[in-house]
Amino acid sequence: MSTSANEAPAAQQGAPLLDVRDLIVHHGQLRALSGISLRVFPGEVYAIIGANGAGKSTLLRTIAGLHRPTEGSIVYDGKNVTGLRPEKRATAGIVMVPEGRRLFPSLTLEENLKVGATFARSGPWTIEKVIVQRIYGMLPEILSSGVTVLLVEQDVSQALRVATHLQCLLEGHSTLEGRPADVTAAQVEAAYFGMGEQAAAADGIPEGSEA
Amino acid sequence: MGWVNAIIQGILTGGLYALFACGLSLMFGVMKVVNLAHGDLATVAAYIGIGVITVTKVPFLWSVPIVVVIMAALGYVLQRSLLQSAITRGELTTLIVTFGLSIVIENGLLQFFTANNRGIGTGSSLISSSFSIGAGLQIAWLDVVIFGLAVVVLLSLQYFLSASKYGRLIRAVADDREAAQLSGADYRHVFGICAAVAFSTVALAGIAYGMTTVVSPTTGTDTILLFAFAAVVIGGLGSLWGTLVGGIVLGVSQQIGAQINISYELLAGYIVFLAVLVVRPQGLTARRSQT
Repeated sequence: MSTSANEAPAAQQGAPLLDVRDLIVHHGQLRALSGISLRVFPGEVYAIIGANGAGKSTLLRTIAGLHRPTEGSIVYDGKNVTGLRPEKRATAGIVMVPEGRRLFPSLTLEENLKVGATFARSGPWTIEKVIVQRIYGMLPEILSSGVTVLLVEQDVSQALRVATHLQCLLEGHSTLEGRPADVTAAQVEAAYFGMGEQAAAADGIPEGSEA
Repeated sequence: MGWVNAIIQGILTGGLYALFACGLSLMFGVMKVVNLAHGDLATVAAYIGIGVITVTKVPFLWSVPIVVVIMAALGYVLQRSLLQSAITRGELTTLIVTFGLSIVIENGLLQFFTANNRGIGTGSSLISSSFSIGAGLQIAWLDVVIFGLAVVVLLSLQYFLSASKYGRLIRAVADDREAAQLSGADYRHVFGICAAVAFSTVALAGIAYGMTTVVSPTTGTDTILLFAFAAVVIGGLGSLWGTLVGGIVLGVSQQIGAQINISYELLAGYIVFLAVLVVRPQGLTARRSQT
């Protein structure tokens, strides 16, 4: 995609927390991502949507360090983390919550939390606090404490509801990018299912209509 | 009386077999490494013990922690270098690499220590003394001490795995390596710690074997590795206390076989081993199936 799609809207001031540039990832011979770029700013909830096989999980796993990109760079908080191992990225602050939860089945709930706490960075969260309150109820509070979220979701309406920024993938390419308020339902539909080229051409430029 | 004696001796021998087996079981349970050099490493530990006593003239008991520390360090280094790179290349590679390591160790020992048998001299009368429990039953103190050592080792391993920080991480990495990485755990380092712990038990196993009988460069594969495998399979893969159960079953089977005819000793052990594989392949102390 052209870089014009990635120009930060006026509301996004300062340096991006996460800056992914022209990411190309292969699974063996298969090209899973073809030059994906995105910038996530502090406090933002950036939603990645797309159908099955669009490359959402590959993108997240590459950002977390579980896949090595063929090309492109990942800059986190001003530091290039493209070559870092996943555990180093986790302790640096990029935390991926994997699909299917991936708890450690032979560990107790408390031990599961303690594994995470072993390498935790300092913050307002302790095991006691997490256990006492229900995690879902705390989501708004977590967000207000300045955590930035890069969300991968197949359910578009769910993603649009919570996100402050949106990017749609299709077969490893970016087909739509913008703020949820600025994209139309038709654009999302076209970008999601890859119908027609107008979705790519529109590229999330606001048309004045609300999604 | 011969039968009672056979069973008692078999149970006590089972402690030694559990010592052989628990390191093998730990390495397989966590890293999925079938360490074919396991027995040879125990032999190396015995030779290191002999060397430490001969060269430094320290009392036998002092040599034990020295050998354990040396073997633990060797375990960490070996895991982080050779075994880790084998793991990265796939499960079959670890088999080939540890098989190669086994050959290298055996020939290295032959080169430096010749094919002669050697025993670990404790310089204590304990090694040969025994006590009577009546009716002509003699029990060697050494066998009792080794059985007790095996129980202590298993208890310590259980406590380490369930209550310590690294034990928790070892279980987490064994469950899901990738998810552990996402939690910030460097699984290579955790594997190294696990190998160090496993090699400590290997050190104790080698010393215990060297005290009970004699070691030669081929003892590792001929005896220790095979008995360890049998004990692990009989007891159940990945189960710590299963190695003690498996060791005892193996020991008792061998002694009963020997009671029938001295030449049936090894045969009886392997018949039971095969019978367990056929009837109860998950082992006698089956927990949840390993995925």
